[in-house]
Amino acid sequence: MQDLALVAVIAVALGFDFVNGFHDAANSIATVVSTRVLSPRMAVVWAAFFNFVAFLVFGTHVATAIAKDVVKQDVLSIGMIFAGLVGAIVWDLITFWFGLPTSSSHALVGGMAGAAVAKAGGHVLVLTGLRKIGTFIVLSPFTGLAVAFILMVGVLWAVHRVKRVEFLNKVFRRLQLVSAAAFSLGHGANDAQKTMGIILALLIANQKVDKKSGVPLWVVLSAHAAIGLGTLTGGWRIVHTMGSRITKLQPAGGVCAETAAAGILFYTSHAGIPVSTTHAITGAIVGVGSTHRLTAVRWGIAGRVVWAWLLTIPASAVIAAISYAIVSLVS
Amino acid sequence: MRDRRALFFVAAAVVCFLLSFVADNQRWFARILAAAYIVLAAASLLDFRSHDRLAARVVERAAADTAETALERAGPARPDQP
Repeated sequence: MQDLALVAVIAVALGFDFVNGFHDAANSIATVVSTRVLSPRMAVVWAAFFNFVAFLVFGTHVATAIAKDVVKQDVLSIGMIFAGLVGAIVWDLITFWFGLPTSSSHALVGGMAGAAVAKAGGHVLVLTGLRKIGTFIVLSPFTGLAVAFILMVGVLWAVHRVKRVEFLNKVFRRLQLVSAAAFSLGHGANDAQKTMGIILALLIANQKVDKKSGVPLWVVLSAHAAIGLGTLTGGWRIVHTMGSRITKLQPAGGVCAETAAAGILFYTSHAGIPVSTTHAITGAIVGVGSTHRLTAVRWGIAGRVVWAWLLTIPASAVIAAISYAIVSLVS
Repeated sequence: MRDRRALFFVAAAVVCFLLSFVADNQRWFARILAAAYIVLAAASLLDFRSHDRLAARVVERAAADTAETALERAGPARPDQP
């Protein structure tokens, strides 16, 4: 019975990964689609491929952080993790419905924290881990903004004497394929690892693996496959918000935004910090828009996004806590 | 008129610097980012001022051109005119 429940919750975790893929697919491909470098169909195939192959490039530091740095390990149980996942998935679906590019990662962290607090109280939270995640909630968009701004200014300075605009656009359209691939690679690495972390936590809770052990290969492969398949199904409502409503992007801007965001994801994946791909790319898009002038950025839309970010952790935590109460009543 | 972009960058630098106190082993990251924002704010301010000066020069030149054209149209001044 216990094993059956374990398999069922692992399936839900992979389902979350799938939802994460289609929710965040927009981030990887919005700029490529909005600058018409690739058709929407080709763009999702491109992104899904690089989501999947990310496991060949990056380690599993983020997975370990999710499994061990959010809540204390002795509180982990199948019911608690299931409730955390429900909190994250429900919040993701709500924001997906309204077309808001919120963070699946922070929904997951909020869900786990909410369910753990509902089960055993506030003392089970790992404050150092949560502080690191909380700090990068703010730092990642700011980093994206600064790096994209610097890259864009550099590109503008490098090409300002070139008169053939059509030629430049052609070059940057090609480069965008590379930058979108890099971003998808980072997305696959950072986001798929969150699910790996959840599955690792489940396995630790059920004594299927040792507390100090790493992530088993089957977990790595299944998490990457799930996010890749999710990306294939795409999330068009959010593509629209990210690709055109925050600021209008040209191919050069798309390259700079994606390269900046990919850089953040590479660094944080390496450092074991779970960040939001949404935050990274939104900051980068705002950075590119700011090189023209601040009014080139539609701050109303950006503000709506910020509100959604602020609400993500508390809202998913509350949903998870309610879910845990229901799970406890039923079991 | 003020350079709102520079102000925004200064605010971002302050936020990043404040976060460096809670960033544990990523303190250096937050501080480098804060420093980068200060440099960006300074660069943005210089850019804003140079644009401002350029605009003032263009306005001056246009005013001088208009005055010159008006004088040319009026023709040479007659000696009996004051």
